[in-house]
Amino acid sequence: MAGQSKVSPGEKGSSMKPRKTAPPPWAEQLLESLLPVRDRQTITGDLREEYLEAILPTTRPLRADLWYLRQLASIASRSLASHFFTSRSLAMHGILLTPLLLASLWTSICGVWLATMESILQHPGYPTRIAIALGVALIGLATILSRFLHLSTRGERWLWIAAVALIALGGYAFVNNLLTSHFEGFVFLLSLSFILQGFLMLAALGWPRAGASSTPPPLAKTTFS
Amino acid sequence: MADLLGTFEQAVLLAILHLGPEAYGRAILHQVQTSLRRNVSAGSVYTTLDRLEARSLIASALAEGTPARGGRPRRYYKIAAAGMRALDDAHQTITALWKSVPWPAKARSARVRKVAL
Repeated sequence: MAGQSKVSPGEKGSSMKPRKTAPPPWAEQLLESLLPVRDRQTITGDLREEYLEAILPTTRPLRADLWYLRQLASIASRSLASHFFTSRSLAMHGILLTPLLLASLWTSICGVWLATMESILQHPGYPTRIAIALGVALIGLATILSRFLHLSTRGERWLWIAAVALIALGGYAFVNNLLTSHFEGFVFLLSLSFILQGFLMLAALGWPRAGASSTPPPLAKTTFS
Repeated sequence: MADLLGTFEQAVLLAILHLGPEAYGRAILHQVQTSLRRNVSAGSVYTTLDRLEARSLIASALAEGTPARGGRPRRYYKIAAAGMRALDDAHQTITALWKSVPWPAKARSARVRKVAL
């Protein structure tokens, strides 16, 4: 498998440690997930080539791995910053970007808080409610990661389903809270938050694209138009 | 006048010009490091390449990768006509700026400080 350390034929049976032939697989996968689809293969390829041909032969494997992690951090931070601050990004997401980020953060925190409280109080049926609360937190986190770290375009379809589920959950909690004899303020607030985040997600994601894939376009010979 | 290129943008464009048909990410990074005589992070080079391409100053195309890259493709860059014009503008501006200051600038600034004292 690509990314795993291999032993060269000459080293079989010897006491030497297996020679590294690739950067840490997890770091390479993390870098791929942080890059836009267009650059995933090319930039990770460049870094792997540099790692194998220039860095690894001149230093110890641990230092080489640290070099790779430094490059990862530099590329990830710049990719994130450019996504937030380029005019293209602002034009695409417009005024939705900040409310969506805040709503996602808010629901994530609420989800974790609800799950914690349920696990402490342990009222009847608490495992189901913990699962729902953690699900809400996960949706918030996934929204942040997917929209701001270019995690995956295929994942957007799942987020679209998650947005609909959030609206349904928020709507159900909102109506139930109004109909019950004990009106709960925090349920009212949370249900509205879920509905708001769901609609913001739908607006930011748009209609799920048929045939959208995370694979880069096919290779062409080096030609410049 | 169009937006003037920054120093780093000029370094990247000149690296592409210098490398010619061999200008891909890693080679550009090496060339920029050589010409600026300092370590440069890969992130800054790729971000600059992205920005230059978004401004249509450069164009890129994919080509087959090598075994060392695990078969991953290379993205080769070429300066577009607008990029050449931008480099010309930057060169002319810098040259015009330096014309008004006698070289070396240090001697001049020392004399000014002496007069002020």
